[in-house]
Amino acid sequence: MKEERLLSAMEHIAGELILEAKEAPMKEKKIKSRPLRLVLIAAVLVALFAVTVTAAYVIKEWDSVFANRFQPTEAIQEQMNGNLDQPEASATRDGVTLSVRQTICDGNELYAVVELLLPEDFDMDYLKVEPNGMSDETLSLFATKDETTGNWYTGPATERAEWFQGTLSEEELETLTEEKIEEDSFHYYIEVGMGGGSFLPKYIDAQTRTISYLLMMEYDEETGGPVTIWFENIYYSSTEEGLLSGPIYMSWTPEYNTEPLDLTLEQDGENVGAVTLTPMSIQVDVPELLDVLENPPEEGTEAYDELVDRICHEQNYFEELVTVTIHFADGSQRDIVYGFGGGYDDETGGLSLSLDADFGIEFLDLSTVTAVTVGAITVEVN
Amino acid sequence: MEDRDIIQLYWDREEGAIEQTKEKYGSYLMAIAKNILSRYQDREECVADAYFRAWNSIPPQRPESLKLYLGRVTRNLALDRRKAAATEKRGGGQVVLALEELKDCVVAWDTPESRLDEKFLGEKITEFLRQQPEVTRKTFVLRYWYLEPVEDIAKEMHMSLSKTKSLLHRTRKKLRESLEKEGIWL
Repeated sequence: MKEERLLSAMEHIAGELILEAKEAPMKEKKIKSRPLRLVLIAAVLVALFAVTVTAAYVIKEWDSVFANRFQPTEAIQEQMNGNLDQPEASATRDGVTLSVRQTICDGNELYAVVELLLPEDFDMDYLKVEPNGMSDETLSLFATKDETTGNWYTGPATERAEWFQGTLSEEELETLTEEKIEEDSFHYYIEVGMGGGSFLPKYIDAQTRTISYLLMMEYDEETGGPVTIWFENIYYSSTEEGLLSGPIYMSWTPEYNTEPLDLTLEQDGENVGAVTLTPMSIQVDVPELLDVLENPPEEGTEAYDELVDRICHEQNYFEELVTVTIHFADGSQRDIVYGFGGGYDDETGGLSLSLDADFGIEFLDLSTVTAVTVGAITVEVN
Repeated sequence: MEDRDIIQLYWDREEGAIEQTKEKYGSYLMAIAKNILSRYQDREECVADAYFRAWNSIPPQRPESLKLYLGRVTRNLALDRRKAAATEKRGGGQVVLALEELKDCVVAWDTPESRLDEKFLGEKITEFLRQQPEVTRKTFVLRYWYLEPVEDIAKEMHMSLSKTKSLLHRTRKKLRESLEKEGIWL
């Protein structure tokens, strides 16, 4: 069969493509332990505040990139109004201007619309803009010069220097270190490879010479600091000369207004884990996996060994093993079937469970959540 | 442990070679096998066969990338095992779906002179993919090399399901057009 031949031919594609496909960065599985918040008091305060400022309350307009992606209803726009921000952040170099147009953040997830304004002498024909003004393919004409730096990176600023080692001159590293790194702060650096990772080109506008990007990343509320977008350079495809004489970057600190919903998983009166819900994500942390299993096997038994073996070797076994469900006031529910982590700890010999998943293009109204189930335990929202 | 150290263990005929391989790449290889084989036992046996294959072929071979080498061996073994399983009416899964999708790349006619060997075809696919954006390359390889379910790829690539399907459809169409331009008719 011809299709089968094609599938067999895939066997012979270059190894670098095979390895690259699995080198996509994984989201960190960080579980935050926040103190329980007095949701009721907060709700009263929010209500009072709303009454006080009704006259000045304005629903912000969503950037077209966000509007197209999320297609928010009026209710969602109102719900997320406090999470929408238009930070003052931009940088210009050699006629190229990098800026951030709008952000949506909930203390755990961050979306940003980032804009690149190209110089006046830039020939937009190189981008071959299609009539509808959007095409992912045309952006392949841009590429990072060095493939080894084509990935994106988020992480502590203090580890950033090591990441960039070999890709920047010592002088550039030193300058960046002096200007941007504070030892005690946690910066996020995103180095951009065109079209890759979670930094997606969305629109080209030939008239205004702009390219808009959608940035999606995890943002940690407690250790969060400025986000830095970094372009090493910008290149036409297949050319060595970049548009810029050096890197271009900008920083800003995301602003948002969200109270996460923190829940405690209990069994026989004992705290066995935590659940944190934000409008855009859910996190679960269970230090001892056996605590949330319906029929946990005893350690040292064959069943326990089999459990450990499957967890260590079967990629999606957690999803089969533990059901995580969000229950809503209208009786509906939502199963979370991805973002699982945890596993076997070689040192302690214990099994743990974690989960960190975003809701994609949807936003959760936390006020409608009535309960969350993690395996054998259901915790209700008071 | 670094790949070169593990490979040296194979060359030294140290049994620890397989243990180290299992520790470093066991999950990766099981994931490849899982997309192709539905039975857990089949996957385990397939990956065990891959270790055995590595033991018998290193030396004399000294792969540059142990991960790539083992990944390829596992994929081949899993596909072979799937063929056997298909005759017993089990397995199939993503392979059947992927084959159905790849019909987009195949034109309606076929002539003997247009046939070419799979290695050459693989090289042409590589050339095509290298011209695509990173997100397109990765999505295509995840689907047709790793044979991952489209739903999983969408999550991995942070795209909606419909966008992922659409991207794959467009890429298959473009691949067909690209091959046709070179006079390659599948």
